[in-house]
Amino acid sequence: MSKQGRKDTVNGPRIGVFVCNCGTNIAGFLDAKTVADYASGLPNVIFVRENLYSCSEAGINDIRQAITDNKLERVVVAACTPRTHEPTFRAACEDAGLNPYYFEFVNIREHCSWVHKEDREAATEKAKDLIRMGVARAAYLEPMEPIIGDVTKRALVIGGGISGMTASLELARRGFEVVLVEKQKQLGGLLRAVNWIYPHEKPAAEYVKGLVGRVGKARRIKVLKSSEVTEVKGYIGNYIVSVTSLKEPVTAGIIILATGAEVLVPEGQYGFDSKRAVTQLQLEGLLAKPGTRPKNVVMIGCVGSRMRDRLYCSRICCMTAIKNAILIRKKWKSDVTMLYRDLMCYGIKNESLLMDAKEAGVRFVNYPDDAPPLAEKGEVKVTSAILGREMVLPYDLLVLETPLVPAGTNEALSRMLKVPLDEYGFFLEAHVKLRPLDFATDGIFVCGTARWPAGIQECIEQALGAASRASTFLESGRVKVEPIVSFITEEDCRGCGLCVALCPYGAIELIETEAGEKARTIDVACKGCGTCGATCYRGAITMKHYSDEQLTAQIRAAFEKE
Amino acid sequence: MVIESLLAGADGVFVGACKRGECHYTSGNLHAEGKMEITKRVLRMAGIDPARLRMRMMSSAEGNKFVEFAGEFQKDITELGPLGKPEGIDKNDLEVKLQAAGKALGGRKIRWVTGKIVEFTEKGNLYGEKFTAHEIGRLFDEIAMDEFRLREILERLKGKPHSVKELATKMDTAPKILVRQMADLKKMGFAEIHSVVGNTPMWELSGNGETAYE
Amino acid sequence: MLDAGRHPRVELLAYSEIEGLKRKGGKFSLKVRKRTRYVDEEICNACGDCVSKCPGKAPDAFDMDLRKRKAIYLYFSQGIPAVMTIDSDHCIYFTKGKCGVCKKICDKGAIDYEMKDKILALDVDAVIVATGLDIFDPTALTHYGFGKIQNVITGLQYERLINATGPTGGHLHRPSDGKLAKKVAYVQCVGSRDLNNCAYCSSVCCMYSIKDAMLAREHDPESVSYVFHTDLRNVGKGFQKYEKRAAEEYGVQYIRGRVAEIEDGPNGNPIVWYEDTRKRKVESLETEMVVLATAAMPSRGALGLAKLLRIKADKYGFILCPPEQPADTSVAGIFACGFCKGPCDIPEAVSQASAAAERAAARIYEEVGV
Repeated sequence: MSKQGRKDTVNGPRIGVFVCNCGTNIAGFLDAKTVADYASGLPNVIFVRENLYSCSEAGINDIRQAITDNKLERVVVAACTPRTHEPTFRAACEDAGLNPYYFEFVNIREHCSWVHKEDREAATEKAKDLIRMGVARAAYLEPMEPIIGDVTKRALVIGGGISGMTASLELARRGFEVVLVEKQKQLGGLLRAVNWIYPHEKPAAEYVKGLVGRVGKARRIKVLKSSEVTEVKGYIGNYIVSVTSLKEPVTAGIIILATGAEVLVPEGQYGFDSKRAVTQLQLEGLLAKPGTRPKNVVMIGCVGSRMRDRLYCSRICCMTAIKNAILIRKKWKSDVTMLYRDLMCYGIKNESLLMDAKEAGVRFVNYPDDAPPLAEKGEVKVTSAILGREMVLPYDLLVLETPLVPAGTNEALSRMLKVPLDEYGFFLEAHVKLRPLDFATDGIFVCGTARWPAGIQECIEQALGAASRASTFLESGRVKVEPIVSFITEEDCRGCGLCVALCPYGAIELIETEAGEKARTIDVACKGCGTCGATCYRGAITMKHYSDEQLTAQIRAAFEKE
Repeated sequence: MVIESLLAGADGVFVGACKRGECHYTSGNLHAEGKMEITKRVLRMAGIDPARLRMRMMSSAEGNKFVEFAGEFQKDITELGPLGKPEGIDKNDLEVKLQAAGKALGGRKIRWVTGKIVEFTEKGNLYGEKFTAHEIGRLFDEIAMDEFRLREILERLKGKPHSVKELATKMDTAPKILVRQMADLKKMGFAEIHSVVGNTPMWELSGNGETAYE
Repeated sequence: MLDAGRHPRVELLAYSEIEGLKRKGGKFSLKVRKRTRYVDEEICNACGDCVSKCPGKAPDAFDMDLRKRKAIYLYFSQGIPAVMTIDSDHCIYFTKGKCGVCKKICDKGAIDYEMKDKILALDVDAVIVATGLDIFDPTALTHYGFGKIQNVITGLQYERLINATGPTGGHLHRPSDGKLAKKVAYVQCVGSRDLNNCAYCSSVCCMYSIKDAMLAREHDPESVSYVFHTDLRNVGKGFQKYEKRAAEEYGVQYIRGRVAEIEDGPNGNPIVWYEDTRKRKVESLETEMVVLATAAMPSRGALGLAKLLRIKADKYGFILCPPEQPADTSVAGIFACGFCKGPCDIPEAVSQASAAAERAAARIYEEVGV
């Protein structure tokens, strides 16, 4: 399959092109052989190979071998997406002694074969176009070295609930200093209002007390209560954070967001009055105190969630309700009826708690999604989806299962830290499946209900996980950044400061030189977005790896059909 | 890059961006939007149908939207025909106009204004006054007109000396406006009188005009 | 996978099992059996010449036995490490004593029929258990006809069918006659939430069934899907939106009701009998294929491993971890993450993996005291 292409290159670099079949993902929908043959005729291309899977170990070996054997100076792989395999192929180049930034990725799967499944010929032509463009750009690629910065060995944890405290303790245990900022007067977060926790099977107060005590005693943790973050400057390794309770800002290498969530207050719904109609959280308070003994308790699920304006399921309400229902049966001996849409008892322990509730005599009534119950004058009217008729249930206490909603401070923090929120206002992680605790911005991590509703055990897991992610930077004390950043040519810069004002990452500073003020990029903070480059009228700013030269070559090649 | 694409042979340019508030780089899409607005205006000044440039916003999860937008754009551009043809601009003229447009867009004035535009619309200017879309449109139009005309004059003078009348014909502009602009260019040291043919002064680029005007 | 395979500080021992563990102070001494592949891992580059000539055949476990593979094989095409393995149960050389085609054809000399298992001794500070899951064998649930009715398959088999590298190249050719299945039923809680089998909820089936149904529609705009469910437990980030989108944009139909029985109908079409609890009626639906969302269980051997490591596990083999320290097992220094300690989805498994790595790191770097 390998082919020797044009050798009469005009002083250009020696380019190797690898066309991946991706099994049938690519080769099934376009003619990979024709594409490979075509590539061998492109300028500067001296080596072409078609692989079944370029990303497989065999494919990688092939690339390494070809670089050595053919003295390749640029490598172009036409395959899938840089998201999954760019690091793989760059590493292959590096292994063979080629600078990894001499690698160019051409996507002929997501951008071609997968979207043109119905037109083989057109897909083949488009793949040729894409490869021609990639080869054109490859000729202008420049070698680069990763950027390395120092990391202050101190963590800032925002939020002193169970997630924030767990993450702080874990980092302190690893030997790192922690500054823990809590908005309220006390640590503990939402858990302070909770009566009993499951599956720990103990009073929440006892658990919180233990945790708060350990945080208080930890000499490496500095707790700032009644405090809020007001300004965040800097970048990974070197954050400078202003906090209301401190005169001097805090410096930290990384930041963990553990700001938690709030319980939705169901104003105006089902006669909510905090007395006879309460939230689950208020019920926790009633259960902790002696006194109340209602005869009939009715709980309503999905009050304010899984509806038009708040589509999501808050994950923990069913379980909270079931846990409390069992406690009521034990403590108050009341009749308890739970009205639900779907019982979200995922996993082992939750399902077994549901069994326990049934055994304890809790009655479950399934109501249809489109017919929520009505409550008035001490009665709930509900259509049972199973019986197909209306039931009337008297109540002395009505408990509303309201969802967790994002904390009000999320928006301000999201702006200060330049990390995104999802459509509901929870923090949006770097990748919802594969990077649940990271952000696109390095150095900032998220855990607990700030990210999404979660049970206590899940919060602890995420807090430990976030501590782990953070500790990779804290432990090494160094940060390695992709060198795809802006570069400012000092002679051309007039120090006008427009780029400084526009940079969304605070990654450009003005420095005093003999020739006057000049802008300079802070490499580790730069994300390579290009805002500065596109704005500089002096053309003094080059985006490394995406230079005008490289992109222009690519654009011109797009229209250079033979 | 938009102009570069048109110069390279594209009949239209489609710019896909993230939705407002969803930019991976926080506000890059808003900057891009401003740039596309002014680019369209400069294209219009150059006599090129601004419909050849289209920006649409969509999220990365909205593949179907992308297909829809791309399909529409392709259809519209196909109906419009090759660049320059419906506009009635010949090939050489087209290149001059595109070069001028590119220079205008890369120049200080437009870059400053577009650079600041996000701030002006989102946060307001120094005095806290926010600009409305209408005000921005007018501002953009004025700047686009001035800048493009200057660049076009400079581009045209590059090849050979021109009289104001010749320029006015080629540029389809009133000679009165051009006389004023020539005087400005002379003051800035970008253009000078090459010779006088009959009573008509012929203008050429001065030493600075080739390179210095940002 | 490849990242783990090529990370300079990760040594990968694939095709290996733990056979013994001894505690030495705070450390562990492990006995690991590295099973022989009869192929030299250093030499083989997975070129595939041997596979093309191998006369031996065996069911392909990776493809859920939906097709045959050769007796010398690559477990799957993107597998790490990319080296061949001889399946000695099906290799003609091992079963009949003659053949040796692969040895002859391999010009690199990677084949060695005499190669033995290797026993490795490893001294480590911490152990992380991440043995994942296997699926419940639905044959025992005779009313669903799995194993008898050809067009009743499991969710994992479906994954192979719809996968472009699978036995049908990504098209839903059903097992009985290869006809494209256009009307597919997805049956939830097969073995899960079932007191006789797995009393727990497997947590991931609702979402993967919806995903499967959406994939079917993406592959074939004429396909119709029915999801038979009890509670639809889509509690993760964005899951409700996904569930809604499947119904609105992909025509996925949700039917609330447990499937009572599946019978073999005409033309190989399975007939699903169920009680629609919304209509309060027993009904039946003729489909072209049925996909069973079988319970997910700890992987086979999980109980044995727990015993060997002396860590506590429940009766199914799920490793027990205290809720306050959810990455720790009952033995200090042994940690666990992922499905081996209970059903979880990908982001949960990734978070747990980070948590376990953290706990192990805290041990390795020594607890310096808060």
